[in-house]
Amino acid sequence: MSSKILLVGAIIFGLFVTSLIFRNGDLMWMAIIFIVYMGTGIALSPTDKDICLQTRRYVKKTGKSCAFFVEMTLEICNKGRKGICLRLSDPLLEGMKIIDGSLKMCVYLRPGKKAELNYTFNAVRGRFAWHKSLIMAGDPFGLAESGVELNDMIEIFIQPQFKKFKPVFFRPWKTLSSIGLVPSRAGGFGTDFWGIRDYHPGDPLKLLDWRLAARHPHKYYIKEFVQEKTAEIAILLDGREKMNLVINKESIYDIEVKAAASLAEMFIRQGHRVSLFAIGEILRYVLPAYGKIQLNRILNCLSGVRSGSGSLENIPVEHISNKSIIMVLSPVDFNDIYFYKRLKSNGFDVILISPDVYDFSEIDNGNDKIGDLAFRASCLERGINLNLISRLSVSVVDWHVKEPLPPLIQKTFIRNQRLRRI
Amino acid sequence: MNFSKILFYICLSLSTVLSIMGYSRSSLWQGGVISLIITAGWLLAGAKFASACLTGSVCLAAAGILLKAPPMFMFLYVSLSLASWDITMMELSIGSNTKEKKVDLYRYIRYLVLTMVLCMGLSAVIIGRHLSLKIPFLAMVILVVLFIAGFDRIIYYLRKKL
Repeated sequence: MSSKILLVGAIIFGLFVTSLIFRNGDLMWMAIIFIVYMGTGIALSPTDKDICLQTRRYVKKTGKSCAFFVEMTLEICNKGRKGICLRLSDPLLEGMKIIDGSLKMCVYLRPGKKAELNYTFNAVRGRFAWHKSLIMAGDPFGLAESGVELNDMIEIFIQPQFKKFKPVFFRPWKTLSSIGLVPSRAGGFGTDFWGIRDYHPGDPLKLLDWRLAARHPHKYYIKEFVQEKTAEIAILLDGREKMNLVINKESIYDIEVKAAASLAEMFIRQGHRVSLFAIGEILRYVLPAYGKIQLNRILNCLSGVRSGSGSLENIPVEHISNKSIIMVLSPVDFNDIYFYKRLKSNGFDVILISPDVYDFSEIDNGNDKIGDLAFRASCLERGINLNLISRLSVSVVDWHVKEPLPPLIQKTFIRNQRLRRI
Repeated sequence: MNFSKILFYICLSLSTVLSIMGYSRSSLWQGGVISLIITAGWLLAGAKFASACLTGSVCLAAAGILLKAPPMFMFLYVSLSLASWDITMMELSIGSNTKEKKVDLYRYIRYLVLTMVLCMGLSAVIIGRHLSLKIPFLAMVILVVLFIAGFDRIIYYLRKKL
């Protein structure tokens, strides 16, 4: 029962009671106006047989640079025999910002006619799903309305925007067996020279080193090249609520999400196998695979992630191949050291990309000495934590969020390569 | 300014004028002041307190009738307040999606039905007040109770016919 009919009913009842108390007929006549109003409304409301509706939804996504604009159209058609008054409304989902149009509309639909509820909304990132449309059919006054639920499930992903990073070249310790672009630590077919070995029956003759054969009669040698393989990269995204910092509607977690999307795009473009594990409200993951479809899967997964009360311990480390390079995007906490110990004990090559929360916060303490000291102590604590983690032979990238990320990662890879040579 | 707003302002200003005239006839200037306060409430609070303003208007009109103000002014005041409330609620439920032509059709139908309802209500009141049937009070109460009990039957009949 709508609030309108309750109000009108209460007024009628109030006037009726007052007229009886004061024995005044004019008050009863005043109630007649409201009775006629309510009676007409109820009489004009359609019965269940009159309501026969059909809905369809259309979505159109536009825009790329800073945010997406989504044009939503809810089309409704009256398939019944009588004209009816309809009240259409769509819910305002989290993250939606209405740019144009309205989420509600009242229309009168003649039999066989159609109406459209149009609105445009803007969203930075998110997963938006409409499962059902609730349409209220009733009298023109909206007094006696009955809700009609129509199934028109639709789901759209507004993927996080990513920057196209320049390719980062690296030589991982472990590679996969499939052919790719990363030089592996084994000889075979490729482009770069690897070495020379004795000829064995069955070796292709085009690989024979004829110059060496000329110098050593009755002996043959084969030229070997560096095999180029693919690497497996697992991106771990830390979305724990306690690690998230929101300043002016921008959060460190959103920056991490964008970085994860950019890294995934870069590695997939280079032909590597990429997987994603995101901790937040719930653990979301995308199992390792190659190609554009995988990138789409990862971006769809990233579009729906939210920071929450998850824990790093929830990540199923045992499901990640030990040939993987694990890239962890996380602001660091002292208790995380045990998690990195666990990763290293499983034999993973781990790179920690830690966005500098204190640099992001841009806190200006001014003359507040205690605040300044506390800020400096927090910065020092973070530095100590990063140092402790780096001692576990985890490569640490201390990322000031305004700096570009690829050069830092490239530097880390080069440093790792040098350390291996030593 | 759209047609609904113009209509709302006309209804509101007319209702205020009628209530002030009604109260001034019986030298109750306080009623006129309260009526002006309620009108200010309509204008300032808008749709949020429209229901409260309607209730206030009905209470004021009922008080006017009990204090011997001319009933016809009070009936008109209440009718126009009801119209103002209905227009406010309609604009609230429609939203700002005015591109659709069917919305305009809905508005038109609603104005039409509202005008008809108010005309019917006021006609019933005017005709009814001039009919002098001498029914005992107890019989009147019984008739009203019977009317309320049979209200759903009347609605069912009207729906079938319409």
